[in-house]
Amino acid sequence: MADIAFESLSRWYGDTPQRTVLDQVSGAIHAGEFAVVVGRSGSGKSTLLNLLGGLESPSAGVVRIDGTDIAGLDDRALTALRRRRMGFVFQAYNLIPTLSVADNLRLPLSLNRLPADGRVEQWLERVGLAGRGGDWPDRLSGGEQQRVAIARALIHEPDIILADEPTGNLDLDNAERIVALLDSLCRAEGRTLIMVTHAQEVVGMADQLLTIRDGRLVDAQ
Amino acid sequence: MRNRLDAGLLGLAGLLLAAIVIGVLRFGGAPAGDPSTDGAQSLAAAMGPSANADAFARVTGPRPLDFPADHGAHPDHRTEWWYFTGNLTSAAGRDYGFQLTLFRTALAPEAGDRPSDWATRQVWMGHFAVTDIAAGDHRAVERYQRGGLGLAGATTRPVRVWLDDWQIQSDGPEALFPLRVTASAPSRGIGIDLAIKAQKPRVLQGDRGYSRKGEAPGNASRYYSYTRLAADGELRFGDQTPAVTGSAWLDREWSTSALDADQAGWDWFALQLDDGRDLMVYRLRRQDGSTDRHSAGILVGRGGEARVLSAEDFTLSAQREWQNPRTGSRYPVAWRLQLPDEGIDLQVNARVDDQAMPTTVRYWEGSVAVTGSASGVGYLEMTGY
Amino acid sequence: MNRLIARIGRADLARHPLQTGLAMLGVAIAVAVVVAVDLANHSAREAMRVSLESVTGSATHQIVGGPAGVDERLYTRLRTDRGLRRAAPVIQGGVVRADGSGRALTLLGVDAFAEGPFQRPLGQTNNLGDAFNDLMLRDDAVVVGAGEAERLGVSAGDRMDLLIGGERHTVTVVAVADDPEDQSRGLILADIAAAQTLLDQHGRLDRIDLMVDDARAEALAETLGEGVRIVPAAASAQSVLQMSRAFQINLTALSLLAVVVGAFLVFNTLSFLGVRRRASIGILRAMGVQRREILAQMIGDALLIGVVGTLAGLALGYALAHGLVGLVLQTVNDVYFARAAGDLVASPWSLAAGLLVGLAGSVVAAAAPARDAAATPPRAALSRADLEQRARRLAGRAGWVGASALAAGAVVIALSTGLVPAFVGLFAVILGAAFIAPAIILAVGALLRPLMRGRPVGGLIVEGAVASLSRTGVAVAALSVAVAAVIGVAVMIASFRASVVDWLEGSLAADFYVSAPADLSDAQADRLAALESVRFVSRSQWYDLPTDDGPVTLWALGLPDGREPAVDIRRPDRADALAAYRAGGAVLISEPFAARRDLAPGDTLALPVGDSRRALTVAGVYRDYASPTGAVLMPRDLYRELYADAGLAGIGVHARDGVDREALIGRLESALAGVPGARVTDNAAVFEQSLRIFDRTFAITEVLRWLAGLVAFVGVISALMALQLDRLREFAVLRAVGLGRAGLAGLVSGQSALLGLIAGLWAVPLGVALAALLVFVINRRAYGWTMGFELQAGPLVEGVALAVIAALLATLYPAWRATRLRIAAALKGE
Repeated sequence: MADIAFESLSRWYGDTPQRTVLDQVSGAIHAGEFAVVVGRSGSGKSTLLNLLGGLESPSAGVVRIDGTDIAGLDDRALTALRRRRMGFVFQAYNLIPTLSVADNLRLPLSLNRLPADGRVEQWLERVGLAGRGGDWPDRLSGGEQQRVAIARALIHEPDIILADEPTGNLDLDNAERIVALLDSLCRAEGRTLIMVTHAQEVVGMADQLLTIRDGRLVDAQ
Repeated sequence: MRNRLDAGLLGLAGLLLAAIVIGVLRFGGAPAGDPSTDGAQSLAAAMGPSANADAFARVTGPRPLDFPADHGAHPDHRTEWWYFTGNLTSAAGRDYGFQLTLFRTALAPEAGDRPSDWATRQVWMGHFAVTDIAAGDHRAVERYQRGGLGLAGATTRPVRVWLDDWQIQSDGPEALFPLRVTASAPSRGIGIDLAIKAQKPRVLQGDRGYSRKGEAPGNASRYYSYTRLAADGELRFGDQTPAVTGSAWLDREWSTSALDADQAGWDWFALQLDDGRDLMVYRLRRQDGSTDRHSAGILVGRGGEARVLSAEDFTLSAQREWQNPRTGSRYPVAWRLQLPDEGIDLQVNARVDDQAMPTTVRYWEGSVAVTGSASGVGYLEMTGY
Repeated sequence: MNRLIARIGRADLARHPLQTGLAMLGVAIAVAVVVAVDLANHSAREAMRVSLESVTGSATHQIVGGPAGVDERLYTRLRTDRGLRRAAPVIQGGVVRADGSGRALTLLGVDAFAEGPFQRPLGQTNNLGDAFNDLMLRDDAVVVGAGEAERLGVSAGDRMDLLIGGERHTVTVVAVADDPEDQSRGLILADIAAAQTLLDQHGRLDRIDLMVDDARAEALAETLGEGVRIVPAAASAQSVLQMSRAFQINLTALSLLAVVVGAFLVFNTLSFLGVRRRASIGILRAMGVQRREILAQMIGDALLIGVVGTLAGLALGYALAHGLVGLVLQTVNDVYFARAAGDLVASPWSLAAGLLVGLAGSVVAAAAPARDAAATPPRAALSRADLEQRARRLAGRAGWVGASALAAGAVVIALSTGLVPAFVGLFAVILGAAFIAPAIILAVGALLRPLMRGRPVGGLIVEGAVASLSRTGVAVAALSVAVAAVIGVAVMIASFRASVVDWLEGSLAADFYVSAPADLSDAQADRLAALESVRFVSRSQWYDLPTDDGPVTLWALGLPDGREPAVDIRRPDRADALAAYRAGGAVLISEPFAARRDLAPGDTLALPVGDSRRALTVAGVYRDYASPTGAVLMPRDLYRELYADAGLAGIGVHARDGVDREALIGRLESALAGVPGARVTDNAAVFEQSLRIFDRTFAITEVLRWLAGLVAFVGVISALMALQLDRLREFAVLRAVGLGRAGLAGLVSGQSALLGLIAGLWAVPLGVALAALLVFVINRRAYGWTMGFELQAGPLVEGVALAVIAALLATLYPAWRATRLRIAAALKGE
């Protein structure tokens, strides 16, 4: 599986480091670990996740996935890397509204040219939504949509799952179920899970805690 | 007249219309290129009684001919022609046959009072053919023209008969001969320019030129011939333009009436024998294949003395047929002609088998060689096959 | 492309049927206009070609003479002396059906014995049957083609009355000929003898058609003798076709204007689609969808819109063409060639052109928005503020591009002389101006903003209009272009019309015009001149002189001593030109003629006279809108000397001051008693008739102008509606904070009206510039016409009103939706 290492990672907007969002952050997340990134709003934790997931490019520093510096990849290679090896879960669920639930799940398989082989039904069952494949996303509640999003992030069996406040829009009960689901699904398959959250109750489940304050990593376990 | 010509007359009257419209308008005046399968039928149909034939002048009995006036046109008769055929030899000894016929047909019995110089009731048709005997190549062209504005016509003093640039013109104002015949068809690579002199006087066919064709006295034509003419001039065939000399024959005939409907066609022979005699016979064939009793002929002696022949005076038998590959028609191209009273027994052979005319009215007209009791050359015409 | 990704795009289109439908409609109308104009042009060309060929046949050369034609005996000499086989005599003349219809027909006299190779349509028939004898023997026998027989309502054996040279003749239709292509439309065929009698042209032919090669023609020409010469047979037809080509280029350019507007529409829809899909695209990009796959999706959607729109447009265009072909032919008939008539001729090229314009146009228009969408970064999406920021930057850059295009267009026009470069320049100017439109919106926003301080709703109107640049810029540009076209063409037509009126007033100097179907004579003119209340008469003859470059219209004008031709001489100055004209051996030429032949005062014009040529001096150039082919005006004495033609086509009667006009008409008419078909026309009637023809000529232009406007109209509705529907959540917020329904409706329509107003106002200078280009560049290059510039408020107001009304109409539905909004649901979002 995947080891992720990042060294002196910085990100600023504009031409000069005046508006630095992330300042010389270093660390490593090992394959199969569950890492949680915490911090206040605007601390730079989402930026760190975006950089680790190749959604943004660092202004300075490197991100290595299994030893490869992903900042050196062009857009096409980076996109291919995300397609094959990563899965994203967002706060706003971000299902494609014009595709049915089942087609949302089929999308990553189709992008990776993987056979469906009953995986869609299997994953719907795993996230507790058996039989809902034909529904449109806007027919589902927030918790249900997020469970679909989790299934979509995992269905093509990526090495790394990146979750940006997946429980941010959910009530406590639903939030716990979502985190537990993510955790169990990742651990079962030995996937690396990196989650940005400010839900304290999640921290206890993590293998590693990355706390960001004003763009700096203050505490690493 | 020759019987074939009666049919020709009738055919012309009926067919000129179709000929002009189909042949000229559709095929641009060129000879119809494809076989006209119903040509013979049309011919037969055209030979039937004609609705307004009565309105035209009729030939009803003998009358003295008046020359040179009668060398010109007779516009009130429906049909008329000037018919030259001949056999020529080049200085190098190459043999040719030629035919130049100018037909006139009146569309109406009377001239209207019309102011335009183009207005006319006369329609002219010309057939011109040359055969290169050695090459076995027969080329023919058909033309039409209106009889107005000097485009085609016939005048006397001097005699001039023409259609566009095809022309027969006397050298002097009073006599028909000597005359000059010119015709050319660059598109087919043929042409003639001949000075022609008469070697025998004119002979009148039938009863002093009154040639009966049917039972009614009006079913007849006015018919005279010059059976022995000397031709001298130039001929064009392809890229050759040899000087030529030889003999020619002129038939003149005009009429209005039609043949009987049960006549299928005719076989006409114009032969010039080396012994100085000329022999013309025509046999009218009835639908049942028998010889019509109006078949006739003429035998002209060395000095021009003529004996008119009737159907009983001669026998004809066909000996070999040739099939026209373009139309499927079969023409007899070898004949035996016997005149027992005269001790004449001739073998007449086409010098080239394919001398079929690809014209609107289809027939076979070509040069023949004569052997047997006398030798000679001539022209043969066959219709209705 | 990935099937699911493609489906996302299609589903998105399906979820917004109104906007998708409007985009398709825009494409459809644009394609329809192009196809219809091309089909109409093609059909008109075909009609002209067929009509010209029906008279010319496959002749290669023609022997022509002077106004008196060719002596018919030449034909006999050609055939008998020269053995020329492929020669055919022709006479022809105009006749009119003497019944209520008054249908004008051409009586063509030919010789059946010569026709064969010439392949004239009626010569191709073989079903004349017994009618052949009638044609040959009767002076009243004619043949018509099947199509014409149907139009005339006659069948074989029917008689009909014709007015020929003013006299009534009864002819008999002895046969109706097959004419499957209706080639012999407007033709009556007779044997040449009958035609000579009917047309009273005994002894002469109009021409002798030949089929010969050039070498033979040249050899023949040298020996033809006096008074006749050989011209290429196609010269006349070519010149007609060439002249009408300028007109058709104009129509095609106008139709392309609709395409430009249509392309804007597709561009706009796709840009909007890109903006709306940013969120989805961000997710897809995060999931590892490549840029080119996004690009393919967007282009695929554009193609879908293009295909549906194009197919509908082809059908619509075909239907529209049925109407347009009549209008085009009407103009062609009025201006170029009087016997062009025909029906729609389907042309695969027209349909292919429509297909190309529709599909390629859609894809090209979609390229930029699709690339934009594909560049969306792989996360949720830029904020709206970023987007608008970007749009502003783009507006600035587009402004520069637009200004450059404008300048380039101006340079192209200034440096070129042809008609097509002029249109290229014109389009560059239009596109340049369109690119500047977004910058104009920003500028207007900056101007208005200070005024709105302390007026929140007013501020919302201005900000809403300006801040939505990413989605309104293109719509405003499209609307500007279309409105500018509407204004520009209207101003051009008004200018043209004013010039024509001015010209007519100057050149209709006589009080009455006398004309007759056959030539008038000097004796008749003298009789009129001798009348007491007549000051003097002018004597005109017209003759279309055949030349190697097509016919040249000669106008021979005879005036009493001391009178000057009533023409508006443009160069050199009038006194000099008239002095040169009077000096002899000189002519005045019309502007189109000067333009076509590239002639200036002082140049020499060599006209064929008989079998030789005569060099004449160009004394001056005068204004004339009557004929786009141009005319050569010469003193009648000179004309008679050159062409030995004493006939008169018209007599202008100048009355003494203060005479009773009604009484004079009576006296004129009685003086003309016995002249068949002679007519006295008041100059006011000539004036009105001329303007009627002018208006008819521009009917097609008017139609195209409004069609281009219609495409823009649809575009604006589509763009503004999309904009407002997209802001429903914003409206809910406004409602929640207490804006009433009326206030919200006012806000929505206020924003749209402001955008419409900006577009309309921007279109005013653009439209005027366009009109100036049409008047001073296009018309001069196409026809050689110079004209004044007539700027009136009407078309400008009309254009601005069109823009505002379109914008307001576009808000009706969104405003209605906005006021019926369920606030809570809308606030919750999608």
